[in-house]
Amino acid sequence: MQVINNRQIEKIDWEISDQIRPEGNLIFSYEFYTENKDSLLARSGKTGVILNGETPVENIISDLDKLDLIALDFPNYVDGRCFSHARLLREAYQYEGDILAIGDILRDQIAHLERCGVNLIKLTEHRDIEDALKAFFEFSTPYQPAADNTQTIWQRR
Amino acid sequence: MYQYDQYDQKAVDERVAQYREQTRRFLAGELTDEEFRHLRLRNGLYIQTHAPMLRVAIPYGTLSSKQLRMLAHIAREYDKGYGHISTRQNIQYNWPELERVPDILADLASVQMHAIQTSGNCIRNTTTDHLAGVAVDEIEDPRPYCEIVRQWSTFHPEFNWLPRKFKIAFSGAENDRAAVKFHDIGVYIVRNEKGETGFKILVGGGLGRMPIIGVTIRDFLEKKHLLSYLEAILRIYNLEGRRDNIHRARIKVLVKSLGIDKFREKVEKEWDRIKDSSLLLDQKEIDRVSAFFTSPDYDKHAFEDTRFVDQLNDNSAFNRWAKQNTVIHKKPGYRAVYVSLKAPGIPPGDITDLQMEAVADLAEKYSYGEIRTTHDQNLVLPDVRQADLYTLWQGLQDQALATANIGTLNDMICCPGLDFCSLANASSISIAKQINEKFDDMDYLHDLGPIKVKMSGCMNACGHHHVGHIGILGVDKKGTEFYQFTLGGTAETDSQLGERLGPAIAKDEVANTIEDILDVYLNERQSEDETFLETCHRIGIEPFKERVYSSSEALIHASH
Repeated sequence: MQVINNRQIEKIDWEISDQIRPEGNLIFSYEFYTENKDSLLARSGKTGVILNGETPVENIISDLDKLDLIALDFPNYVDGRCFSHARLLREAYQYEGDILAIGDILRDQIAHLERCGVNLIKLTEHRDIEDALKAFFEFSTPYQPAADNTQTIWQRR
Repeated sequence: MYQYDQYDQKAVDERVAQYREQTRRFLAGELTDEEFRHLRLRNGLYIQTHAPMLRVAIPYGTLSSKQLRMLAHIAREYDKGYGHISTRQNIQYNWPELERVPDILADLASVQMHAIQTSGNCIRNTTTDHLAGVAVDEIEDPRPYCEIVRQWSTFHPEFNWLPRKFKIAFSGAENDRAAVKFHDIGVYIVRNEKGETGFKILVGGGLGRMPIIGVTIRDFLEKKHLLSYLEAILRIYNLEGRRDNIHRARIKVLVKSLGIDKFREKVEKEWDRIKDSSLLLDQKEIDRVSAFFTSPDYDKHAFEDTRFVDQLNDNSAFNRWAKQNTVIHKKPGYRAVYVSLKAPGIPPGDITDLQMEAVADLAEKYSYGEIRTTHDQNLVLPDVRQADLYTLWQGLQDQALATANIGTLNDMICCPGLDFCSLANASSISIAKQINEKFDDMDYLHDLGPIKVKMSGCMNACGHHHVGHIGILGVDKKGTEFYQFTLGGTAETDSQLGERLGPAIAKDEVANTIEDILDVYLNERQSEDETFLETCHRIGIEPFKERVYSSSEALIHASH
């Protein structure tokens, strides 16, 4: 799928699916994943799981070392819960795999997603992905610390 | 007051550029109405009944003369020559053009001002005591912490899409002049047994459709932990606040449904994880910001100049104004002066471009170039020598800004109501006018003593009617405007919500109803020193009810 990966447009070798195939890097819905966890993790391909705002990240923390990717699904762009999910995954649970944002995301949110620890962003087809890249350069220095390593204004002073 | 450094300036400049581009994308059809709505709200721009409304932040209510002159310029250049001071230390313009808002923001940025996060479901402008730094009952000046919170909350990457709006207020004094208990987070500066100052944190207060007094989540928080504690509260709210129903989405609903103990447990658990992270407040940063809020170089001999006493004796109008519109100052020989924005016939809180410029000049001459806005929709000149009061009074009189009505019945809080706001059910400004016209006898008003009348044009309660000593709520009954009264509310230190008087009253009868209520008070008060609020709490609502609804007029017009 085509995503923004660390500010570059790239194709990544992942697919969203709720069918068990032995190979391929597959991202499953949370429900499908919990029902079929053992067989999914026994596959040769990598495994990811989708969380939306409803599912607390605490539900999957015991599996974090087995998951290569966690997709955070925005049902619509006004639902900001996944911003906290991303920070918790990175900061509270030191998750080092990929965090992919999917769903209804505005270009005007992607710089904040990055600050919260999201490294892959999939925009819906109707949004201009080239144009979206500009959003990363709108602000030079943040005030507050978050999940990224940007030096904050407070640190610079 | 606080001065931007290169980073602060860059942040607001970059915001102007971002918003200019967002406006361009909208006009070019690259953003839908709904998408742009969320973006423009985060820059304070509403689309209202007649035109857009732009809400500009006055962080913790502090302005310089230079900034006030720019607000006057904006009123003249982009609006119809006036602005409206809101109850949360913002100024609102009712007639800007959407296409020119980026230029307004650029003008604001040139004087270190902005409209960032003045609306939308994000952390709003932090408010505080308008007498901060000069009050005699102050434990510690809250403004440095307000500025630190302003910076932390500005473009917070995690909390820009909350379930609902989020308001924070601070007070550093014994008496609460900032309605702290009616905020999503309220912070009091307090002293512990060891004599150290820190923060008492309240959560879940608010007005609106579900008025509720905030509850204490932590009795004492060390200052260095301020931001981590706020962040923990916001994170729990962002994750668990309801998003399925806009009327159930404020943090007060979450706190109520979990119970404060359970809510506290969640917050403290999260706080425990992050309290020693990079959110830990560096004393150097506290000191850096505090250095901007030191006292001006006061005249040590100010109290020795006693011409003021003769002027008080010689001029009864000046005497009345000085008594009503100025308050005691921590420095002997100085007073804090209220600039009344409640002249008869003017919508409460409105101020013209020329008045703004005049106040800016007077502040420069007599108050070290600083102005405050109050949540009662007036202005304050915080540092005036008593010897300058007479000349200042004359200057304010020339601009119709010296009506001696601060704290009286005519010092109403009032939302814009049906005249401007698309949410309103009933008009507010015309009611303020009706009340002003009915009660124009200054002796009567002063005899009544302090009375806070607060009026909202709908349940959203922008006029804080629940905490008015007399609260008035406009309601719509089949296309006709009616007014629901509450009595005995207060947002001050002994906060409580007003009690409902009875069925709503017809529009024409509002001022007459107030007269009935005041008659009861004047008959029942034990002495001239017993305030309306005290009498109200002592005798309860029944005597008022009896009087108001026994009068035939009210009965005929009351809606059941």
